[in-house]
Amino acid sequence: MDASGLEEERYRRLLALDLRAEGALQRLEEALSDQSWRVRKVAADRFAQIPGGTGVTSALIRVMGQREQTGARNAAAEALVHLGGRAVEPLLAVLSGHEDPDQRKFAADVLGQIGAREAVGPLLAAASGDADVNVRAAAAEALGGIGGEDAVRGLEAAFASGKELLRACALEALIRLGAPPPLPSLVPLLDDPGLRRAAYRALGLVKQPAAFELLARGLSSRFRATREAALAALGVAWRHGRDDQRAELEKAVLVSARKVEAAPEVIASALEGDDPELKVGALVLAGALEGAQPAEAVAEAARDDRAVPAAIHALSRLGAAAGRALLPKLGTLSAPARAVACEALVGMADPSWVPPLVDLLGSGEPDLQRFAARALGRTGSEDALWPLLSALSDVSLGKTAAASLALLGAVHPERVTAELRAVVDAHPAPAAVWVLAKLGGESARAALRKALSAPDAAVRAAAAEAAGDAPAPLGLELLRQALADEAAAVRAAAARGLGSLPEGGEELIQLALKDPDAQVQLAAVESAGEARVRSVAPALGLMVGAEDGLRASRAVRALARVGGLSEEHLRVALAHRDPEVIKEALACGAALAGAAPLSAGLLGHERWDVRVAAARAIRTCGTSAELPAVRAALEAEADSMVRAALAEAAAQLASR
Amino acid sequence: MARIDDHRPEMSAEEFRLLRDLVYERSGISIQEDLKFVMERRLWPRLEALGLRDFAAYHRFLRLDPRGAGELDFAIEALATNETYFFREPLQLQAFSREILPILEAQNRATRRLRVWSAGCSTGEEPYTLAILIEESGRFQGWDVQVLGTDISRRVLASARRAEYGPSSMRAMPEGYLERYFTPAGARHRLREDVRSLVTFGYLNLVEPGAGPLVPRQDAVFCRNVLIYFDLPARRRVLDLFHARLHDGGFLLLGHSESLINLTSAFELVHLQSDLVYRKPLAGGGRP
Repeated sequence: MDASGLEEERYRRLLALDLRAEGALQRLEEALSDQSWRVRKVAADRFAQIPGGTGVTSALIRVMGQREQTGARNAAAEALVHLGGRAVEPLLAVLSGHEDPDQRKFAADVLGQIGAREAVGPLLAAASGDADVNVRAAAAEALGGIGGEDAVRGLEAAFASGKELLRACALEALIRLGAPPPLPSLVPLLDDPGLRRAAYRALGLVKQPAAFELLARGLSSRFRATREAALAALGVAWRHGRDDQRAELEKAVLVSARKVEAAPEVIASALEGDDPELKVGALVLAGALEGAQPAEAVAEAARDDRAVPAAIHALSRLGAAAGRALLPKLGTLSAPARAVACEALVGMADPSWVPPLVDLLGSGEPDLQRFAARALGRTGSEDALWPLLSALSDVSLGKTAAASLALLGAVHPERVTAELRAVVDAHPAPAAVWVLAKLGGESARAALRKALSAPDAAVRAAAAEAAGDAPAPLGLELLRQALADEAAAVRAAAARGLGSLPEGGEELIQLALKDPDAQVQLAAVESAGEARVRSVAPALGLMVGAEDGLRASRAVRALARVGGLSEEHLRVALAHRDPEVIKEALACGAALAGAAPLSAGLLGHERWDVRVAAARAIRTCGTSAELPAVRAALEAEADSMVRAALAEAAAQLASR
Repeated sequence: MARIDDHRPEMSAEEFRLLRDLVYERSGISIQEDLKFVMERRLWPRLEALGLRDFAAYHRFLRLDPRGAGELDFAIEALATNETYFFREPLQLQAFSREILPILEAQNRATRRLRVWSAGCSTGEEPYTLAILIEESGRFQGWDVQVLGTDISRRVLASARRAEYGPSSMRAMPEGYLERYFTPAGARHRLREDVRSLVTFGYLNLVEPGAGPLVPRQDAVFCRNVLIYFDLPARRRVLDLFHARLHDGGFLLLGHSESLINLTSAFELVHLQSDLVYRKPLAGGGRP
């Protein structure tokens, strides 16, 4: 067998190794020194599968001490990370007491990767007091992986008082935690070749106008390294900023942007690179320097997912003329670039865009056709009317064209309604009926009546759906007619419409609840809740125990809305096998007496989302009686999202 | 029916996780934590189309509604970028055309059969490119040639079968090919029927257990920029599938940023003049 075959055999043997067998631990320990990294990796993975015992961590810590075996040490460190909480105590002992600084450094690294909260104190002590500078630096880095207020305070102290390596590590850790040091302490570092890049990145996290100014000034520095660092910081600031902070930032950038030396080249080079922060910075700069970069290049930056929001933002600043120039080129862009360009351009449409948009509507490219249909309605031009009317009967474009026509109808109500009426009279399409009904008016009502008698069930369904928005007597009459339709889709649409009727729908909702078609019944359940029809509560109550999760969850919600949800309903719903029903019941039933202890019983549910919902319900309805259960759950919980919900619940209950 | 307003609801961290888990369970596609906004952006049009008010409602729709399973296909398609065009990654295609096809011609001389699989073929540009290259090589006249394109999205397969493309798909097409292999079809171009007939399409979820028997044994598998969507266990499952469906000596071609490091040692790395590719070892340890 050749070398790769032997390696494969060792690899597979380790995968098949019975961890309970005698000598298994020794086999794994030996495998950590295997010449093949794949074998070492699988050994590291398998260590974590060995249940309990200090033998595992001792073996791994022993391997960590083999100075000449770099591969084995790395594999052992990885295995310790996999062990998680089980490895923390022995690692803390190494960190605080091992004579070999290399071992202490490794322990700090692993503790940081595990993210062990209980390690913060010992790591702070190591960062400030270990005799070896590398251990101090590693401890600072590890604190960046754990976080928390105490870690941040310790890192700030290390940054303020440490020597260069420790300062650098503390700064990186603070950046990682999104907690930059105070601005005055960063300013001197902006000219420090060793710390400049990190200092600028930290500057990007300081959300103050003075920091934005410094950052913008860096963009026009005569030193390339400073310009690049500032550009990456601009990316950091933009990605992490709120909308108002972004506006401030852009103001500052605008002042400096014109002074940026060879800006188009700087931007182009950053857009072609792999650094997402640099790319985002370049896009923000491109947005400020309108025309500095071809719109196509800006759009193509969206091939990197992380640059998408900045690319949309930069494109949206192009202005209508540049946007119009981009329209004929959309077809040649990559798919992600097209998507962002369409998103950015749609809101910029003006009447001059109609001809190129009509071309795109006929391009045969589905995404560009949808974009064109959306944008045409936003041009506000009457010239957009006919292209949109003709798109109404297109199966894939009809809905988009209808929504767009509704926008156009707000600008030219009489013309749009008249033309739509003619279309509906001649060839009624569901989308045309829907938009005509939305635009309202007498002619729309007449069209709705006519459409409800159309031979095409889809047209009748669209009319039924729109009838709910018609004035009460007419709406009621139309929905009554639609509920007697032979097509279930029409009856379901009518049942949906019943919920928005101001009055008179109760009787029809009761009727629809007895419909033989499940879709009609479900729509009626929704409408019963929406219209607050209390009289159907008994029928809804029977549905709570339905095996079908959709039916049961809708019944729970509707019951809550009509004020008919009881503790017994809650009990039934919380025992449902579908977690969606349980979550709905927890959300809707929190106000009921008895909800808190029932919710507490679900804090140990196997699904994290049910546990989150239970914690939220208790936060709403719980008392101090549930506090011990919440605290116990918090203690045992490993999932961060559930922990956050439990912590909020515990805080709320403690304050009651 | 569509909504008129343009308001895009924000996706909460919890909604992101629920949707991410659902997509993963169904497809093996793994979406990183920091790409929540990407998911939000790509799924929003689906909310619009379904008239749903927020992502929690969308999750409930996927989980509970009878149309949920079909809708999940739309969601997966929206999340897996499917960026593709004719003659993507020309150096690799050159390696296929000039170096791999001659090897396969020699290897399959007795059977006169050639099978090539484009796994994750999206709208068909890749399998059709391979069919064009096989045709251009002139080596397989009279052979039984079939290029198979599979994808997890049924909608893209329907589009692939139409074989009609716009300028974006043609942006890397070498000179002369458009005229030789396509005919105008309105604002787009349709692939020549004889080349189109070399390619068949089918739905396949690469990570679904038991998917293998649907795919005949292959001489080459192209799976470019698909593995990036999967996590490690799913990647390993997919590679096991490729290994099982390749003939001995068959080739595996991945995207230029992808490799088998940390995934499997069942393939050997072959240094061709134009590219590095993977190969299932020949029975008896032979080398190319």
